[in-house]
Amino acid sequence: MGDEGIKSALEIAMERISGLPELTPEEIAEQKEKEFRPLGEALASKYMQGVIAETEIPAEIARHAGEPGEIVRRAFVAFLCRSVRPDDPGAAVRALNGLCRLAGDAEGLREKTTTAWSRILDDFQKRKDKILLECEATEMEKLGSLGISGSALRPNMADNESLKNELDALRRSCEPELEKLRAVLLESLLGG
Amino acid sequence: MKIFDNFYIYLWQGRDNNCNACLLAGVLKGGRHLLVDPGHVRTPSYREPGLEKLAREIGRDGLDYSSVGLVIVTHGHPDHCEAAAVLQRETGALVAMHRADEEMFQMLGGRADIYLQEGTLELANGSKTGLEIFHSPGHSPGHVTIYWPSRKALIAGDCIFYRSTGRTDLPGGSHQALRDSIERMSRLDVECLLCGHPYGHPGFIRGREEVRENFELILSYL
Repeated sequence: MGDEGIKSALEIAMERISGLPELTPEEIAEQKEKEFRPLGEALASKYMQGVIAETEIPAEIARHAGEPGEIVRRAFVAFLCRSVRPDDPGAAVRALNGLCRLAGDAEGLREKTTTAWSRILDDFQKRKDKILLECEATEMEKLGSLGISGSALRPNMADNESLKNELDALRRSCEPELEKLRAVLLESLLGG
Repeated sequence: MKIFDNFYIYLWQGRDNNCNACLLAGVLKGGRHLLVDPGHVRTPSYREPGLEKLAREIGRDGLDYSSVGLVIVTHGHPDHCEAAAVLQRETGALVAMHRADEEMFQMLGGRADIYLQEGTLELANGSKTGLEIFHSPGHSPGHVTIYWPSRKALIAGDCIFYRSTGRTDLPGGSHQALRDSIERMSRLDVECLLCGHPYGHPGFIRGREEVRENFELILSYL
């Protein structure tokens, strides 16, 4: 067997690649999305965990220029928008602050969103407190039927199925208003 | 051992560490019982069958331990609440304790059904039994003591023993908090004091004077 019959692994790989059809623009975009979206999400996750400060966000995003930068920014914004939920107000406020920091007109965006967010949160908290009281009262009635009552008792509601269902329904009922708020944020930060 | 009416105490007499327990018989609907501090299922060093012994003693008093409907654990240490997790699973008894000690109970496979806080606890089965729950931290952050005002009885857990107190060097312990808790307990009108352990004494002190002397002695050196 002559030398010309022996190919390196690189040569074999190159031959195989050259045999592949060209990627379409959509496929290239999809690949880039797959490559850079996790970077944006990781950045957002780090911010939400407090690893990155709010003031560091613009510089962290700016580290990715051009099209990859756009994907990172979009993923970062989408992640934070998903964190704007009334069942974790602390995380929601942090997410809102992060999003406002990224906007050109931070104060303008803050003004636009604060009222809507406060209304959603206030409504959620009031309805949540009412649900909690009602579910606790039901559990206290059950204890009463066993001959157990008194001010020293608080039922453990952690695994209470009806409470879970009621709170799930409450969260779902908040979604339309949250979607409107997220739309404002997305419009301001991503231009539609 | 019957103390009065429907109040029974079970003083631990084994070689290993385990707690004293007590039972208020037939105080819940359907004639079910309240049991306080069922202790270890098996003691850690000598593997003495704590729960089995307790069930046997309850049976000797003509009562059925499977009729326990509510278990109160004064705190989350295993020598007081390990058997509560078993009773919860096997007899469907509800377990009540302070929220601050629940994590320890969860490590033993239990889960609090009811959180206790300062206030009243009324048990009813035709007649009513009124108890008061005191949050008495120091030995553990979620320690509670149970006072029965009409019978002047105090179930003290590991807050106070005969001439000594519960230790405060375990996680969440606090000497100052224990002192404050004992001081509060000392102001109650108590004629029967059930301590959490039989250290050098059975752990049951009877008589107003004897109880007062015990509090005074302890507070003098705390």
